[in-house]
Amino acid sequence: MADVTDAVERASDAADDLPRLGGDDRGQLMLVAALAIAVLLVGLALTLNTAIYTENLATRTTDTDLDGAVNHGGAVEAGAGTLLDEVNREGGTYGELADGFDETLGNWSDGAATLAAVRGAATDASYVDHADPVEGTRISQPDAARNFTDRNETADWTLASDVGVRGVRFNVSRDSLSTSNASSFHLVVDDETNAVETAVYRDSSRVFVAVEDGGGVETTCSVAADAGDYVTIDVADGRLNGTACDPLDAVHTDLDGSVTVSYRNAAEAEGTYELYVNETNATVFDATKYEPAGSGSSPVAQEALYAVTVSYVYESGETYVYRELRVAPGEVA
Amino acid sequence: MTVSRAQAHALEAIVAAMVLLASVTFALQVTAVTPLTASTSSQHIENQQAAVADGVLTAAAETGALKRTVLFTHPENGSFYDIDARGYYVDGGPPTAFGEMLDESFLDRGIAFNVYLHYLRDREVRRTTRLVYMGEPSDHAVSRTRLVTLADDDALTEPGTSPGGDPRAVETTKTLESVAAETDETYFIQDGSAGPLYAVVDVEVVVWRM
Repeated sequence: MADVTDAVERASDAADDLPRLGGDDRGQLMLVAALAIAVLLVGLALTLNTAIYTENLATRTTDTDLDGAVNHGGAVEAGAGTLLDEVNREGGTYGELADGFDETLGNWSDGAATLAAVRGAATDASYVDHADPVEGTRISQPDAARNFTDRNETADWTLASDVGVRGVRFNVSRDSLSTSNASSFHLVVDDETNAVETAVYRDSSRVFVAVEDGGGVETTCSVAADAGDYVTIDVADGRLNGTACDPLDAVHTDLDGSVTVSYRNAAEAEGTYELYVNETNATVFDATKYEPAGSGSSPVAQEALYAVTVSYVYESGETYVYRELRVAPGEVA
Repeated sequence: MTVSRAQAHALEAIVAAMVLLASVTFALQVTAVTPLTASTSSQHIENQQAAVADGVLTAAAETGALKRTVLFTHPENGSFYDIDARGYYVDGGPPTAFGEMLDESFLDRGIAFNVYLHYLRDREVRRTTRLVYMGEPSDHAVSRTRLVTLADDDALTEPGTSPGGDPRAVETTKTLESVAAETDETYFIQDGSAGPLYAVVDVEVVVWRM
């Protein structure tokens, strides 16, 4: 710092000899000080600005972005699940089904890859044929005007014992249903420890699905249905006419391992249904209960793929994801 | 004394120069990109909106609501139900479960959204149909997509209600395969393959703060 104080003091001391300069000198000092403070404030503003900008940069996501890959995986699983059952419905031997699924998934993958390319992602999905598919059986009734009895019109019958079950869906005629819970059509899924019983009945305006869980507690959900209507029930997805029916979740929570699927009072419901079990058709098919595929009569047990393995690749920017998925849509227990 | 004053002058000059430089730097720096520079939208909000859009799409895909909304068209002309001549919804989501999810997640919080359906024609030409269009998105819009698979046996949906009385898309008996076979019925996407696959649709949700 310049030695200005002494000069001021000296100027005062020698007041008689020299003009007084103290006022001028002090003004300069204050100016310098003011400028110094101004610089300090500017510096502070810069520091603050830098801090804000750093925070802005720091909070931008820089970690590997896997959202796209995870989402694509979900789309592959859902798409492959839909296509698997579509292929199963078309029927054929296990070899034909696998080939059909392979080709269909290839078509799907082409379309999906073209759409995903716009977002800057390279994708591919394919059927993994070195992992053997789980060969199973599709049990179905295509005839909407027939009741749910077996081939010999037995009303209480077992569809399959000691099996894994998936994709249990009903499309029931409202008019055919019983008006009393006790004598109505029941779907019984039993894992030998617990049994979940699902009853379907109606009153004058609604169709009810009553589920008795493993602990014997019964809960109900319902949907409005007029005469002539059909009501869809997706047991594994827990949906009644497409809307959530929470009591059906009991098939997931209360059952474990292999189950036995049977119908009770099957004459009290008409419509179509399908379900898949993980035993080959040779094991499940019982000529006293089922008709062969292509006979035109119901119910039918035919060859179907229970589960398949599908792989997918998702590549985008710095992300490369390869995964293999087991696809078995709507598995119970 | 003269020496002292010269020193003060020099110091003053240096400080003045620094102030000049500093003000130039400050003027430049003051325009730095802060979180609020361009709009009141911020990176945090954008991240959040993108995550919510992802969540809505995933949840809707999981329950099948997304597919039912994509299939929510008149069989006669392939246009969506309850829309005016513009051909898309403008003041909120469609009257379906997916539309309700969009309204509750975004519209009710003052966030605008567009929903586009991208699909392929002749297996390679990418086409886009607007499902919801609330206007041109701002520069701070975020976009998320989800693939939906349509099979030949998937049925068109029509307006209906949930057990709680909310509007829902309810399945009809008209499958995509049967609609394609009828001469007087149509769907806005054509069957892309000979097999059981009907088409793959990319549903894109674009959201931004109004």
